[in-house]
Amino acid sequence: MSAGTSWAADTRAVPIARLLVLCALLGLAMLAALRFGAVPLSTIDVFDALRGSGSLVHQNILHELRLPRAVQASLVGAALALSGTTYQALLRNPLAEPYVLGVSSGAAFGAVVSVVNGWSQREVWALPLCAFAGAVLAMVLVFRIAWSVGHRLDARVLLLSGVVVSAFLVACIWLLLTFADDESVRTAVFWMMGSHSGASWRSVSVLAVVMLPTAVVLLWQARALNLLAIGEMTAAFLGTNVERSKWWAYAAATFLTAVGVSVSGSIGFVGLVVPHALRLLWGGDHRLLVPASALAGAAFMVSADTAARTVAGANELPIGVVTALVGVPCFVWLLRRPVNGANV
Amino acid sequence: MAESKGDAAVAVVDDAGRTVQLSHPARRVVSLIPSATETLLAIGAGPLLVGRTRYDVAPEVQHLPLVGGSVDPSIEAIAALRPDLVVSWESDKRQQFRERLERLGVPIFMLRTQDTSDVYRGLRNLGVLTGHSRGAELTAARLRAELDSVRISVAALPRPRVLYVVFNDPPMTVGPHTFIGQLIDLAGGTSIFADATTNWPNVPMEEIVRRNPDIVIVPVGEFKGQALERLRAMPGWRTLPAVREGRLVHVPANLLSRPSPNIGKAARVLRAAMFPAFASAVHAADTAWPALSADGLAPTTVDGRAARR
Amino acid sequence: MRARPMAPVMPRHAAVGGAVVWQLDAVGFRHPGASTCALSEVSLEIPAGRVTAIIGPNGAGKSTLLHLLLGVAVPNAGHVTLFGTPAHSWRRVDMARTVAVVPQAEAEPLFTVRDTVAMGRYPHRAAWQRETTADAQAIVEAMTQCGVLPFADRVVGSLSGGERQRVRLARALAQQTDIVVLDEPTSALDIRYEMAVFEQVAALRATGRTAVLVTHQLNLASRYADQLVLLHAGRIVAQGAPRDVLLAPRVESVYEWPVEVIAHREGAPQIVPERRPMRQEIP
Repeated sequence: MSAGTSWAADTRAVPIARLLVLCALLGLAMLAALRFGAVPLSTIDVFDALRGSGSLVHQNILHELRLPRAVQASLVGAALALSGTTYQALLRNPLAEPYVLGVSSGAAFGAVVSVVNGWSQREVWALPLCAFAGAVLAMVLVFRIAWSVGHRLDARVLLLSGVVVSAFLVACIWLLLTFADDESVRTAVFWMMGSHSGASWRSVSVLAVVMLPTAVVLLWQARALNLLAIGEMTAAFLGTNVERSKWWAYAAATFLTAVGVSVSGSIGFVGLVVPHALRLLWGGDHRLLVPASALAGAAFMVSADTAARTVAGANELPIGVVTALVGVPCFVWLLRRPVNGANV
Repeated sequence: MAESKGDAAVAVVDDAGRTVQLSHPARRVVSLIPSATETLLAIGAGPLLVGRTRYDVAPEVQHLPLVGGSVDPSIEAIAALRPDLVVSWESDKRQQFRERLERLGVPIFMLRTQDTSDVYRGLRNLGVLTGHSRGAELTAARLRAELDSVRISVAALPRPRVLYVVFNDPPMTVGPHTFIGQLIDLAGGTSIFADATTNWPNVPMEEIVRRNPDIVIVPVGEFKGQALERLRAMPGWRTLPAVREGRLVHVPANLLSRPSPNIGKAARVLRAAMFPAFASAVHAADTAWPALSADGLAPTTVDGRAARR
Repeated sequence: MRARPMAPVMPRHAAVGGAVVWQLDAVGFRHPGASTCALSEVSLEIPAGRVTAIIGPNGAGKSTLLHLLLGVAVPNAGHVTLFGTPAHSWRRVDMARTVAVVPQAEAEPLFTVRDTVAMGRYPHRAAWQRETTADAQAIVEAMTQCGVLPFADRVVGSLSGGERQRVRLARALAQQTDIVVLDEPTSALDIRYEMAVFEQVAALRATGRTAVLVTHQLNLASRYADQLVLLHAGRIVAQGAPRDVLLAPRVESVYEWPVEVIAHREGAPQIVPERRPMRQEIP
């Protein structure tokens, strides 16, 4: 019996133990990320380099390349998983994932605009900034369209708006790329596939600063998410200020997605599979699910990034390929487990 | 390969192994490969050209009608020019394209554009096809002399370890069997990825840090200064001793993107990049032509003269 | 539902008998964009400590009336007041501490029965507060009363429709409010559980609490309710004691079907619809 607590008074012990397990997993994933790569380091090498001793080449590789990349991967993984969890609750749909409201198309559009106009060549931060602006643009469009139908944020209308805005922006992207030169097309396509290779301490610190308050907002709304997942009427009847909670939660989740995508492109599957898998394993209580998604998403993304870097020798696989190829079989296995007497 | 004479028929085996037969040397030529265009110009066959692609930047062909891009030209546009020879990429696997042109009665000659030997062979073959064998021989001899002179001049010098950056993120460099790789070797340097197995390998940043090049060469297009500044600021790159100590050199991208008779100039430019003492041997013309304007099409200066647009 | 001014804090047990919980005065409501009114000229008093059943054919406006009572819809005309304050201006938390709702249907995410019933205690606890023993007791009691204790650790989605309805009822009971509103609580239940639900409602009444239910079960409503409100096409056709409301001609005209009214030994009229063969199409 793994889903839910027993009918005795609920304790904090079980959830805390589970979160500690996830922390440990994340720690292992980070260690692996620091150890493996084109230049293999032993665990001792890693700790030496972290402390500032040992070979200079090792230190450079660790501090310049692997550490910021691992931290960025974990932050982006956490952001996407948190966003997926929230959307799945708000849209009452287990297929919801962070890109469902058009954010990734918006970010891609912004990125392509900056590449095609050459801005990204001139300034390193031009591309992520434009991507973020594009993401916000898509967000605003989707919410405005949805709000104009009945002055509420109806789940189905939101989903439809997301699909429509996404399709429009993707068409704009391909239009821009048709007239662009080869190098721009190549840069744009690589960016859209998603990658953490551009990680730097600057991007990591921006991410961290922006993600922390947003994650806190979601933790605050965790109980409301429980109720909203059942139904908006039910949530209202049990004391939730439904519209206020929805606005906060949508804003936080969309913002997290926008920031994550701006920094590392659209990496799929993480935001869909991690929350859903945790739900299947440990039930739907968001007070556990929210922190757990963040930790599990981080661990998953870091591991996938390490695999993408090392599995194919000198060639780096696109990380979206790894998340899907690895995630799908695991997920299918999870789906087939009976949950408390019923296949869910 | 038959020698051409006046109006005699010619038959040449192209780089895809097919025999191309013409009843007389070509009089109207469309070249889909910018380096072949340069080769044709060098051997004196320039007047035979009747069309150009978007990527042909040589000033002599700017007045010719466009047939579209290099890899995806418009068949109708080509056919409308009534060429009797089209020069296309050997690596182009599109059956359909070849077949359609052949059905329209237009012969295609496939040219390989990978390394130095391809340049010489291309010179010879295009010379025969256009009846300019003499011009081809002269150009080949001159090119050989240029390359030999460069090779001899650095023969006794210690070879610096070089990284040629085709693309910076994800990092991509040249393999040893590309013309750039061969030119680097000829001009007295050793690529740190001389053991690469593919022609345009993606290499991990960590590997670059480990192999620690003495000199980093960056081909630069229209955004000269900023590209180098960006590289100096990027994680990984900025810790390379070569970058920190100012051994980051730029070369004109335009000169190093086409394996044509211009590789003589390219060799001199690379030599100057690796051995600053030879910088004076690089003529102003070498680096000024063909420079790109902002839209990447027509050049802005030609041997000191303003270009025709 | 934007932030509203705070409603006055109400005493935990409103006065029994004679006090009015909900008061509706000439209430009218039209759905946005609809051409006709869902409710018009509805005037009604819901007394404390009594069972009020709202009945009527499909589309009569029963759900709309419930939404107005619960403050999730705002009337276009007239007033709906709960303990003297307009229903829609109550803070949702205060409303949740005063009125428990058993909805007809809802989504089934992966919560266990116990977790679902435990949500009934949310209005009484701040977001991250720990569950108290009082909470735990209320939860267990509610589950026992509704007969879902054996399923406590099962996921709600794996239960039958009837079991799920009982879980929702348990959640409402766990909320321990003075007022319980039930929206078609027995639609998927068999005789045993149907009777159990209605007995539950009667038990609520016995402890001085107020119950409002929407139901199609005319006969059980007749036996258990103190007051029937018969709605038809958005208007109140009749309200009062069951024997005054359930008259054959009235029921026939509202439901558009011939019925026979039989007296029950408890004095509650029972409705027996007559058989009427489907008319043949005449070519």
